[in-house]
Amino acid sequence: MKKKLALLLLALCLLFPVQAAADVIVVPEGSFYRRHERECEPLSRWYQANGEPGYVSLYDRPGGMVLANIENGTELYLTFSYSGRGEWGYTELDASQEGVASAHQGGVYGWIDLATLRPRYDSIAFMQEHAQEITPFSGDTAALPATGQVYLWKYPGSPPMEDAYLEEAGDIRFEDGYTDPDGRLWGRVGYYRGWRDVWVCISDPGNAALPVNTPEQPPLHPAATPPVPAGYSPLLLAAALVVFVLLLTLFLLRRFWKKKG
Amino acid sequence: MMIFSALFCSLLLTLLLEAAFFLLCGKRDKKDFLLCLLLNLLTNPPVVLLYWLAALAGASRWAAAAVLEACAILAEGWGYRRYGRQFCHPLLFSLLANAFSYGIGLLLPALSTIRMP
Repeated sequence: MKKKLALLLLALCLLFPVQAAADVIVVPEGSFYRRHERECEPLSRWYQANGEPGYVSLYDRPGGMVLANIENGTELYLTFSYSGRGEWGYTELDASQEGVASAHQGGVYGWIDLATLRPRYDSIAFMQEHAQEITPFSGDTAALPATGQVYLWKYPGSPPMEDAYLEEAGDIRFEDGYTDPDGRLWGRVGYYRGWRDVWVCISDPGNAALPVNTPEQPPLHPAATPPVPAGYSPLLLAAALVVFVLLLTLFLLRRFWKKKG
Repeated sequence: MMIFSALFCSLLLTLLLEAAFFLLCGKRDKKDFLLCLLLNLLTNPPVVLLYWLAALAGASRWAAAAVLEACAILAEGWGYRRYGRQFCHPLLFSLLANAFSYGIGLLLPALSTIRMP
């Protein structure tokens, strides 16, 4: 019976081929995410710290206890966002890295207010800026070579990415299309062979030296040396608790147990 | 907050296992039973905390566990000898009880959910 079912499923898979696209998603650590999983979404985006006082704070939960302060300009990769009590992003960093002040040691993870960060100019930023000119892709992909290199770009006009090209792109699918001011047609790829949210210049796919047109970003707030957060260290609290239990146990032993001999 | 869950889970598991070992040894003296629990309450939290600190400081986890377990065995053995009523070989009992709980603890897959720093 099981064999028949497996054969039936195999036949169905062969009859209706679908493209599988999968990434490993590492979910945030901590109890906050477990309680608010439904309000969190994958983000996978780079930001720069840009707080008004010259640094930004990493919290154990949105609006909770400060775990670390991070100097403006520090690059942060946010994997998840949370909407509620403002917009927040989840990140993990090394407490000993340059520009980070924390009472913790080793890895530290938590949430940062997105309003205190500046996103790196990427495909998302490009799409927001050019929302009016981007349309669902309906162009011609005939210009794409069956073999040979097809270069990938973060966004139309981005600086070239290292080793970002495909040797074969025959079955590539574009989700959005954009025509740049020089008349070149671009296609956005949602996901293809591990590449996510990248662009191909359909008019000139094999050209690795297309003109760069990086928009100017608003300046960062001046950086300041971040202070070590005043919040308690969990280890210190745990140590105090352990000492208390130790003293209480010793007291009980002396009080209720008689020494032999 | 992982340190707190580690402290709590480890203590709970140790108390359960060492109480089970006490009963498996055929001991029935209530005051000795309470002494067994109390001595574990005395030694387990400092051992877990110091193990964490050693791990954070980059020390070898196996070496830290060996030294700390040895200290716990000696401290509990001293407690059974000093306050116990029916412990013929207090240090041996302490050694076997700790070996039992540590061994079972290693085997329990549930322990793998307690992430160390």
